Amino acid sequence: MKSAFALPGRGFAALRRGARAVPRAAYLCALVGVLNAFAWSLITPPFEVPDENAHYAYVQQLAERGSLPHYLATYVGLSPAEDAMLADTKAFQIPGRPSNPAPMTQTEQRKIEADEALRLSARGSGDALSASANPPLYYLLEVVPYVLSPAGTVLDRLALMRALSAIFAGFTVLFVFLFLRELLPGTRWVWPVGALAVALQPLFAFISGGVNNDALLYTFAAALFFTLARMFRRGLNEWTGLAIGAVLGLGLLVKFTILGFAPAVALALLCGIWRAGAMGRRASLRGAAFASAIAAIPALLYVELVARTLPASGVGPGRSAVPGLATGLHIELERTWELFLPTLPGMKNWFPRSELWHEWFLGLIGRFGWLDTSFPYWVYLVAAPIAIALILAALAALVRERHRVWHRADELLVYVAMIGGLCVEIGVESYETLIQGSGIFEQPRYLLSGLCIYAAIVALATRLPGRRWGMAVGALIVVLALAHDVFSQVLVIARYYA
Amino acid sequence: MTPLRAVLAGGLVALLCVLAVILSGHRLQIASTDRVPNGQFASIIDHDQRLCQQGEIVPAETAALRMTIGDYNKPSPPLRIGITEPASSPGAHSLKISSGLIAAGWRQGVVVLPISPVRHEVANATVCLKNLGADPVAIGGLSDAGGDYGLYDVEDGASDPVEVRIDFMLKGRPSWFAMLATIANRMTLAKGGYAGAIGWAGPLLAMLAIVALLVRALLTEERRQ
Repeated sequence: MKSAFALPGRGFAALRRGARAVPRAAYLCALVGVLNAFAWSLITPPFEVPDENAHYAYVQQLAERGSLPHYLATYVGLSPAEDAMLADTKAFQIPGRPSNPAPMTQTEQRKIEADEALRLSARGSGDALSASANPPLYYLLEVVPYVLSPAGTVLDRLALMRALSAIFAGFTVLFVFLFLRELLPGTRWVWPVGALAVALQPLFAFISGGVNNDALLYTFAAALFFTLARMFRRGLNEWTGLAIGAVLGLGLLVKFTILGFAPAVALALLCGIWRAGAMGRRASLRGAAFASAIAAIPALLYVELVARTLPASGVGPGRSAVPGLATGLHIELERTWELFLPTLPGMKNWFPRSELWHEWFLGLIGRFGWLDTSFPYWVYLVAAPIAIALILAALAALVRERHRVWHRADELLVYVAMIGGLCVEIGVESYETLIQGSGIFEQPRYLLSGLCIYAAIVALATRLPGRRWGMAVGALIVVLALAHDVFSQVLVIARYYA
Repeated sequence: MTPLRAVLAGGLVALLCVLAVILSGHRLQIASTDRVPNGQFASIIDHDQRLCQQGEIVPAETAALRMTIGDYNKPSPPLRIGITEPASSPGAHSLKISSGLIAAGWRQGVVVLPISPVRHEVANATVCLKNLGADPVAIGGLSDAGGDYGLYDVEDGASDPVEVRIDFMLKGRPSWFAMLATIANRMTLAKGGYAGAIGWAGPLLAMLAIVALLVRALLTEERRQ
């Protein structure tokens, strides 16, 4: 009994010690992440973050009716209050039409104020559109600002909910910093550089400045990278296992996309057991058991909820709702491959263009709003050599330190498997969306669960020239990241307000 | 000065310079728009016909309309524009708030049509376009819109289920610098009480704080080395 009570107490004490041990720079970087996402939350007009209307409706359903939303096959609106604001803010007239700005006249503003004053019902149909099937954790947290908003209007609630998402961005940056600290413990000057590169990543800040469960998914993804890096550095025991399991399990309650990391986590746990050797075998096995059990519990609990909320598509497994569309595992594998890599001889060309360039690279450099706001093409051509130089520098740093890398090959393999798992997860969802005839799934924001690797590339590139010049290179990267962020904001301001 | 400080200082100055260059650029600037898609020619105005679109919000300082107009590759005809606001009392005539006469010879496509400046914002205005030439013109918009954009069209007194795209343009080609106050004001609209109150000041202050924080974070690490 005594040990059962002592366990949480020791855990909290360890957490307090851990928090005190976090470098001040980590908190500064996290604050940059919060402020940047908050700035984006103010810049982006209401409901112009992808699916924000659906995510808001989910929170509204939880707060107003205390129940999960359910998908309705026929659109009957969300709630009188939200529907009125969607109409008044021109939410359906702006997406996909870059020449349509946000409301810019006093007449439109007065209409919004008049409709807000009507205090229309916020109790809706129960439909949360594309968000209906999502797990509830992010939305449960967003209920707090929704309920606490003194004004109680849709737009004020949305603003406070966006602010909470911005706080999640700060935690994401904090975990990225801590991940880098575990990954590259000997070169502390690269930690803030990598973390700031993430904090200033405009697509990350744009999504985290909106009401979207991806904002919290990024936090749990970064926390998972951190807990795994910590396990590799300090060993697998009950506490590291518990942390890994809790992060993965709670992450599953935010968004199922994190499931893409599960095989890599299993591999990491096996590595942890193998590394522990005979001396630490018992603790590492207990750690792996803790991780597996704790990750599985929320997932299993949610299975029942998923079964109730998923739409009945009428499409059986492996069957296509699109007439004439061939299906099968080999097609799914081919499409997944081609989503990220060049088409190989013998493969059918599933995409008319290189997705690696057009979808992922261009998207990560900047595609905002409902994917309708992009830079002029030359900007991407300028960005490409910079990105390639960073990746090459990171690879060169790995090659230079190949002997040390070799001793950590299993850890490297796990990170590669995490990114691979994320890509496969995106590929599977893309395929499912295709055969259900629901349009195009892939969006660059889905890659942001791998922000820790983005930061690691930046950190390794900064490490390459050594300490004296590395710090200058790091400062240059941070200034470039700041410029990228500022010009992205200018682009979005010009798109919606000019 | 250490290399890190030099890069930080030089980089931030360069960033400000590029921003200044961007802001000094000039272009046509919008005052507002009715947001009707203009992907098709929705309405044809024949010789001496008049198309009127009701329910427009015409912003103050509007000095031109921008519309998509096709001339069937014939000599483009002269056009007359009239903008009126509803009468303040029942039975009274509507009030003319702006007008314009566009000489023949404009080039088809997206056309900017100068009008007399609008002094104050008018809700529920009627914008009329009359074809004074011999050949018809086609106007870009949405056919069978059915009032989707809150507009109501009348062609020579007969109801027409189309809605045409009208952008209301500011005078000349102002620089982004000249637009700063206008854009700052627009950033406060349609966002609710909290976000609206700090619509432009919030992001600006946040970005300034970010610069201070990142400089501090990097310099702190430099001192530690």
